[in-house]
Amino acid sequence: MNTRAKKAAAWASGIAASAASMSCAFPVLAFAEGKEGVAAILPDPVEFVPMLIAFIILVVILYKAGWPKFEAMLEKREKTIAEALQKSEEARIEAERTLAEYQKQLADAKAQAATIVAEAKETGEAVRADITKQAQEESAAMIEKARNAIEAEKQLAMNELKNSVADLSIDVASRLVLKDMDDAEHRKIIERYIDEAGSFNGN
Amino acid sequence: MATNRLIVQEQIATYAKLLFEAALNDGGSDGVLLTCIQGKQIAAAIHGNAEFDAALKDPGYTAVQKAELIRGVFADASPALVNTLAVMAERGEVDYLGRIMEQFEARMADELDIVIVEVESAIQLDDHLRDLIKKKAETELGKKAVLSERVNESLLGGIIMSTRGERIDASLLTQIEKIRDALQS
Repeated sequence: MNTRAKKAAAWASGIAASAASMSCAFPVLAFAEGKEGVAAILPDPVEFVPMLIAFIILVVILYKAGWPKFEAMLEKREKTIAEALQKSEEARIEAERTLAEYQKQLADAKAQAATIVAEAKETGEAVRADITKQAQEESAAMIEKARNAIEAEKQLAMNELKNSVADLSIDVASRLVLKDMDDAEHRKIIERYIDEAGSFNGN
Repeated sequence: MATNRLIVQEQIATYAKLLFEAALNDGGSDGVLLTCIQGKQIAAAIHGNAEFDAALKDPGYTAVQKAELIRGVFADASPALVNTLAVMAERGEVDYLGRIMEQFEARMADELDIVIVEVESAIQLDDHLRDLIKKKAETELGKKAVLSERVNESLLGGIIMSTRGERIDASLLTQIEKIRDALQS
């Protein structure tokens, strides 16, 4: 209850107290007179009228001053309850919205998890493909290397054979020259070479 | 022994000049020629004999002992050459002899118009071949040629002529080596 309602209640109670005091102002007169018969149960106008007036005043006062306050209090209370209900409804709506949001987030998380799993699978496949490709390339490189080594060995053997043939040929030629040429032939060769030789450092 | 390249060059030039002048005074152009041939032979002999070369560089021997060693071993060589070698031995500069003889030979060619042509052949040359070789060299070089002959049977045949770093190789060995290279390539 707010301050205004308290003030209205206090004011109404004051009025009621005044009316009560007015009605209590004349009882001595009412019971002072001795009546008999029906008159004994009928209200004495002397005390009835003031009481009626006081009552009417009280009713009027309550109607004019107390009732609007009381009605305002009731309306306020109703409004408060309505607001509480409204807030409760809003809270319920908010809760439902939050729930929906959580459900959406959960669905998103599930979708994201599924995506991650799919990506992991895809990555795994790619890695496996890379490893396979790398292994194939290494294998091919090893084969190529072995082939080159074989080719090099073959070429080396060919060169050695060539060298051997050349050395043998030269050796045979040298022996033939030494064996078959006499001094006269040597001198002829020297003479011919002197004629045919180029200049110094120019041959 | 100096280590600075310019100083060494200067020393070599000085030795070559002094040796040339001493040889020329002693025996004229024949003396110069003889000194040149002997100097080149001695340079090759020292270079090819590690023991003798080590003895000349051994700090255990005094400079005088090294000079005496030179005088004793090469007593038959021309006096100018022996004296110069003795001084070089005392100073520890015998290693310069090869380069000194190159400058000596150059000076001989410039001042006396004489070149020594070294001839290698598989057989001993006769006078006819010597004349041919001399004419060839003199025509090529424009100077009087003196032959320094050496028999080298490994040439198989033909001849190699060289003078002052220039060379004509007309040997059978070289011809055969060329054929070998052609076969191997």
